[in-house]
Amino acid sequence: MSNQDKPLLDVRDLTVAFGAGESESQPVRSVSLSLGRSEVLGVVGESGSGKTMISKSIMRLLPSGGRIASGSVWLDGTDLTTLDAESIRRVRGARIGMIFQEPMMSLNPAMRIGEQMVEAFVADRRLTPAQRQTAMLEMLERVRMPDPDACLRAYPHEFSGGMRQRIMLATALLMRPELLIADEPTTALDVLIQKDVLDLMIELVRDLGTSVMLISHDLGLVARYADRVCVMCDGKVVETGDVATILSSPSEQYTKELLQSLPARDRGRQSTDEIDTNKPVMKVIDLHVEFGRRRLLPWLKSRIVRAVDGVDFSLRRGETLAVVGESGSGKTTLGRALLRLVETTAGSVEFDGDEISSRSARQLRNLRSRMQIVYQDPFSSLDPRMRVEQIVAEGLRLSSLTGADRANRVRETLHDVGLSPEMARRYPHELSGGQRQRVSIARAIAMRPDVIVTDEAVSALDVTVQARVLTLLQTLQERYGFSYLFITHDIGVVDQVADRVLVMYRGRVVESGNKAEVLDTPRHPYTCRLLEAVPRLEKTTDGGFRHSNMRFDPPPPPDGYLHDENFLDINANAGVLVHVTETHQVAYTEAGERAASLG
Amino acid sequence: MTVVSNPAAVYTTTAMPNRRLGEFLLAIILITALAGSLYTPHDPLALDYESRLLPPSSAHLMGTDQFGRDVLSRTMAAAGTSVIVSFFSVLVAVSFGLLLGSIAGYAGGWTDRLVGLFLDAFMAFPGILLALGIMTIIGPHMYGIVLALGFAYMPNVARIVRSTVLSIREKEYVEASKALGNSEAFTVVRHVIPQCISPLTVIATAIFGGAVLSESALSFLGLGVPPPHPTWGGMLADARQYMSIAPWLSIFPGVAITIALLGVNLFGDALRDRFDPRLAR
Repeated sequence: MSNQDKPLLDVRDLTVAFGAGESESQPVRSVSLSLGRSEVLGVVGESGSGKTMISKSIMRLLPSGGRIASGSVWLDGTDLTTLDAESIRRVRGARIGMIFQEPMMSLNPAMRIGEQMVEAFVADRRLTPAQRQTAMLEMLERVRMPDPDACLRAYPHEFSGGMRQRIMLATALLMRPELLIADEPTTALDVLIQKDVLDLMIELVRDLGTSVMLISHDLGLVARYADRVCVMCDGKVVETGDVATILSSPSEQYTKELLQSLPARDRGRQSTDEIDTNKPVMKVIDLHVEFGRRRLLPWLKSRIVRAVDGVDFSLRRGETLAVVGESGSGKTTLGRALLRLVETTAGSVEFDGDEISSRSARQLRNLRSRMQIVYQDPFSSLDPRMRVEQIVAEGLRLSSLTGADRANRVRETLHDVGLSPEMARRYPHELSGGQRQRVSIARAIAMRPDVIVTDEAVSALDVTVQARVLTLLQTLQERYGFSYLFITHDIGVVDQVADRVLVMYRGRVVESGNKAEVLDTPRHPYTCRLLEAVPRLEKTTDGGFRHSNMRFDPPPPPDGYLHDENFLDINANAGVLVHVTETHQVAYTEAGERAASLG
Repeated sequence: MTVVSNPAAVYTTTAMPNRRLGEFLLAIILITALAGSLYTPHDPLALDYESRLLPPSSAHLMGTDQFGRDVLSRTMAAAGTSVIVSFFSVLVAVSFGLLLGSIAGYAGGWTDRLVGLFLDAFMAFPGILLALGIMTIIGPHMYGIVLALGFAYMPNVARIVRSTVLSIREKEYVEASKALGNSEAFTVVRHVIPQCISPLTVIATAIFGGAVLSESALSFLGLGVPPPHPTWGGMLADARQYMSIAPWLSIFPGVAITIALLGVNLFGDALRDRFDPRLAR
């Protein structure tokens, strides 16, 4: 049969519209794409590009008010757009499975896993309960859940984000659908877990012969897992083709722009020479931050969480120190502790030669203007009831500037961050995400601080916007000489902006050094795993990109030390930081007495 | 329909007339209250046994009550009392509730628990019972009612403020304000309390309505504004006995209360939308 040659899914000239008449908007405009059997198609685009709307119209699950204005969606010879409600219900789940971004929200917290998984069989009444049970257990085993039997009886909160996503995957594949739609399946997960889940997903669908539509904003990720890629912008398909072809020789302007926006190493940046190595603006010695969990009963021992567990580092004037780690590694707490926004438990923070960890709140207030922070979420970090100019001027209230000077400073700062003067009168909700983040930056730099902590400041932004904000941060650093403590989970961003890198795991520093040392010759096993997990695109000599699958093997530790393999164990003793070069430090475990005597 | 996809359309097509209507009804009440304090067709307290329980006529537009007093005059005179009592009750409830609620919500810990205990004790009594108790101590006086109703409704306000403050306190812009060097008190006043305006306007209008009714209930029990001074609630309570033979006695003060409540609620909704820059157009 020629059936095998025909694409499984064929979207023809699809247009999705909301509203009617003058207020009509079309998030998807004449999109055509096809997906062959056992093929993985990546759909890449920034927010608002309509990629999610496509998946929703395939499933006929458009939000209310939306409709398929024209076009057709053919699944193996059936036009899904013409099916009645009853027939489309039989397609959902059985023939098209779907997994969503938020594993925390897509499972009902009040139901056992088994009760939720069994719902997948609703459309299929042929199986007996016992057969269903067997099928569920088998599928859970295939997604490598440690104890499938117990898993069925457990509630969602008992599992981590990665495990929940694997359960979702098992549920979606339970009916052996021909097509799996994965909409940003791992965006909410840490990079190591992301790799875990996606590797598993791809292995499984290859095995079952399922076709996958992988929707993501991350071009690197799609490049790693997809066969073909479809680039979307503004509701239209910009370019479709083989992953390798698109990466190496994109034909459309937008694709090129998208590729150029990907954070990549800026080889021109050689700032390490200029930085005065003798005068750190900030010096952190053996910093500890502990949070006490509330005791359940007064006589029970209170549980202590060591968010930051003995961190040392110094930040030099005008440099960018990147702090990398997964969620829960303590990097955010570290940034807040530097600004004394959380109280430190032990250790010292020196700012410009002054010990500040023991300062009173009042004394600290004068120092605040010299240390600032930019937050991740531009939606919650700006007061919704204040105008942009008020937000930016707020820090100047305590400065010695007069009224007119303040107004000038606000104007100048808005100009610095690339916002037009008209923006000054706007409210945050009237701005885009990128603009909001610029306001956040403006607020932080209005007082010309010495140190700026950027806490995942670009993580919530689209790639092209992210690239512009990163450039802005670099320009501002050159102009005003700020030192950045750049907290991020994104190795690509680190590669672009950092001078030095600090890798954190469970509140401890496992490796630190110059960017090239840490990223090119990682020595700690955790750093190696982290770098391998990050999907990275590499610039080729002819200007294109290719996906690079890097392998890092930690080089043998220096004499007297062992690899810090027990870093995963939260109760294990901290490794010792050992200088492998003058600037490069790695955590190792001392090899018994011998190590101690050798020093 | 375009309504679904365009929130702005919803706002302009449905919310605007509501605001207008609210403003209109509220204006009627306020003008009546003002006019009632300056001029009434008859003396609202003057008894006239010749003309008891007269139906509406040209001489008495809303009829007369069991003592021959002019219902129109009494309704007009009562408007002032009701509005003043309710307004100040709301003011007392909101100011104390805001204070306690924001302290409890922002400080947390033991302060929160103590304030919570205090509020729970208050809330354990039904509002009207609490007001009754306070009124028995203070004695029947208009400002006694204000205090009694104000404190009876205060826990509701404090609860709402506390919960709002609890969620706002964790927002990054509150931490950012501290990072800019602002003191805690300034941060609360500048960034936390303004976020309570939306829920506060809603509860304030609800309290205003409740106060009009509670005031009448207290008056009915002889613990409100002392008779013979007219209040809507008092009039309504008196009219109950004559419901079958003189329905106008209950209809007119009843209509007055309805207009006041509807006006205040619609106006409160409009006010809330206005105060929220995310909804303002």
